[in-house]
Amino acid sequence: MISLFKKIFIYSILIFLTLELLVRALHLYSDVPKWYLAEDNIYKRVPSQNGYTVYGNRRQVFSEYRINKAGYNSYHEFNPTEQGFEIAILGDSFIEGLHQDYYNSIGRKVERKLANIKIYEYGYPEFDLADQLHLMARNKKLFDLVDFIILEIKYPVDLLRNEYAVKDRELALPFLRHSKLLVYMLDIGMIDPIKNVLRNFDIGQEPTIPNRSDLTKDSLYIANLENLLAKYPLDKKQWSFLIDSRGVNPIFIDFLEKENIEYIDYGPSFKKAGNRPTTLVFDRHWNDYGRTLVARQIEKYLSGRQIGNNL
Amino acid sequence: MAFNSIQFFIFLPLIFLLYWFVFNKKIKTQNVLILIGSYFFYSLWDWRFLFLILASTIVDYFVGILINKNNENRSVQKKWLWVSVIFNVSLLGLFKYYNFFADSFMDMFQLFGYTIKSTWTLNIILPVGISFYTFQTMSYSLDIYYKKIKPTKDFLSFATFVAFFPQLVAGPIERASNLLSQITNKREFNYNQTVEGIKLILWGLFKKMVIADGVAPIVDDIFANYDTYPGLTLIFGVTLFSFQVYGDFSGYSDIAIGTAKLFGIELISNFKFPHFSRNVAEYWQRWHVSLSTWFRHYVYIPLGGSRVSKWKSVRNICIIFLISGFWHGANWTFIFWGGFHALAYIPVFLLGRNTIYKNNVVGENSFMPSITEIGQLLLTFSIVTFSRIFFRSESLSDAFGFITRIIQNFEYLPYHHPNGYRMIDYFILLFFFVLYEYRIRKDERNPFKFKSKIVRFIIYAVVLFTILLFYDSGFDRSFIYFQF
Repeated sequence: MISLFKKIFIYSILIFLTLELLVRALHLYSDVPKWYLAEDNIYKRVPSQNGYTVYGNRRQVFSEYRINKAGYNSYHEFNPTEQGFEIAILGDSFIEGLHQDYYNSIGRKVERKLANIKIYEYGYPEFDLADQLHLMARNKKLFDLVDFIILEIKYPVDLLRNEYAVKDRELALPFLRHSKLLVYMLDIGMIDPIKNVLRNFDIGQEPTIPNRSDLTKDSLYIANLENLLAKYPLDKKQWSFLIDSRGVNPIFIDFLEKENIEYIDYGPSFKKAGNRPTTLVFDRHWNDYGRTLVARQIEKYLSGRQIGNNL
Repeated sequence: MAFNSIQFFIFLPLIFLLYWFVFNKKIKTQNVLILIGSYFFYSLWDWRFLFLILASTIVDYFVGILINKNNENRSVQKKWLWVSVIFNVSLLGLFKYYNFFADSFMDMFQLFGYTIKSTWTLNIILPVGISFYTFQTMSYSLDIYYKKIKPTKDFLSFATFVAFFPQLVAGPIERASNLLSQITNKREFNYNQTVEGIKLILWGLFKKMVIADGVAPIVDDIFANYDTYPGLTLIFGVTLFSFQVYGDFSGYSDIAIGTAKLFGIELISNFKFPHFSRNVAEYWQRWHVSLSTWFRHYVYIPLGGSRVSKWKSVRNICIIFLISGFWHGANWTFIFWGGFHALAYIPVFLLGRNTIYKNNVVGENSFMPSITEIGQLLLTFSIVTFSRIFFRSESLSDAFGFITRIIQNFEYLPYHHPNGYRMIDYFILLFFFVLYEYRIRKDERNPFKFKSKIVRFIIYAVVLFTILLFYDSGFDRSFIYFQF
């Protein structure tokens, strides 16, 4: 029996090392850009990092990222000027676009269609409206130089808060990240069953959203939106929401229209896409076609407002 | 608890350690542990159905004793045997087939213009593994009746034999002469047997997680949307389904056999590389062996088998295949599937070629199969794969719609899965899988039979690495045969 355990132990080590080697050699794992807590009390990516992200197994999506000096994934450095025409898109991981080559982002797709504009993409995972408005407020000088702002939000997940609080971006079990094999297994969901077992024992359980009895959920989200816009006032001519109207409660759209808040809606174009996939394999982020559809809507909106010149 | 779940990978080592380190002094304590473990294993699906297992255990335990007690009186013995058969078949009838018969009855009346309200159907779920353990307990009573074994008076051992967790929910369907005799005897830890068990578990997991689960999303898509795809895509889909169902069920069986080995118990082989069969008869000697053996021993031979006239033998073959089809599921598709296999088997039987490949494998004395053998393999695989259309379709109209679509739209268009899976990955995977299975085709119980330790290690690493490459967390990974 002892020799069995010995053999299992030795084989496990050897197999682990072999798989680690294979995963590294074939670059199946994702490089995850590191975080730090910046002066404006926001967790940002450590500036000037390069690497590759991998989505799904077998490297089905493999893309290069470049974190610029401001800490965002972009081929631009973010230096807005009085003379130039700059547009900022703030949003979540869909805008950050680690699942796409940084030189083929949504902003880049729009830039290719419209001359004389630069698009700065301020995207981080789960970067909700409170994060976006706080970032703009804490970097007012910089954003005052930006000519137009697009706030990408997903209803209702980006309206769950009515005030900003710093989000912890530290990795759970960071020591595991030293093994590329474990990173890969985490990424493809192979560790999920273990996580679920731990969750059943109440370890690391996700907090639930408080439910206020006096408000319906949707009116709570609208109230959050109102609060945030009151706290961080914006010139309505200078910004627009980027939303997906599919599955959104109409009261949200009614509110935007009532308040004359402009919005770019990419929902109908996704609907028209029919069976053609707009998301990645094993992942809900947009694929190249999905990004093209979003870029087209932005381009259409900007052209309609005479921003930039059609090429 | 499924073999590919995290719960099983906690449960198995735990029970293994308890079995060999804590409860190893007496057979009784080992059997108590296995029995409790087995009931716990089953209860994670639905504890209420444990009562069915218990009822089946109690009935056949006493029936066995009573058949033996009335040794002098064959007609009384027969009556007791009928008690077992009626009880177990009633369980199956109620939980598995009742709604099928009620629906078919109502459909038949509708044909004549009468409408019966559907309040006849019951809202019951199928207890996992019911087709397997009822057949196993019945085989015990049948073997005592045919005087092949003596009944056991040890209820604990008998209950362990019925509920033995590695094979409780999807076989292999064991006979008491093999399994019960091992359960009643002392087991000693055997290093080689344990290592063989671990290897079989690894190979079974590979077949399940890589082959079956790998192609499952493609098969699901093609069968769900068959009316939108061209004929060649449908052929591709059903071919992949052949691999899926093989990987799924033989993978399960390998894990079951491997797990039993860890406890010092040898289960019978259930799959012997069926896709390397040279005719349909050989296929049935290699596919789901424990079920085929069950039907041969307890239905085919009592009906006269092949020792009666040709036409009666043909009738017996038809009966066997139709029952076998119906055993798989309460749906006309399975009965058609069984009927189709009967039609494919009968010519082989009439030509006297049904047993010629019984004791050898394809390419027995050569590295590669001959051209003739390749032709035979392809023909058999095509016949079996065609039958899978019935096996996989939701209804007969879907199955015939699928076949009609193949014929009427026999054209090629590149297939793109909605999720964008790269098809080339699957072609490469299946190509090497077939080559590897061909390499190991002579010994289904030893999938890593290589002299060199280094080669063996490389194969283990490749197998595990391929699991990493094809693991897909995005869909339900339960075993296909659990539904039977």
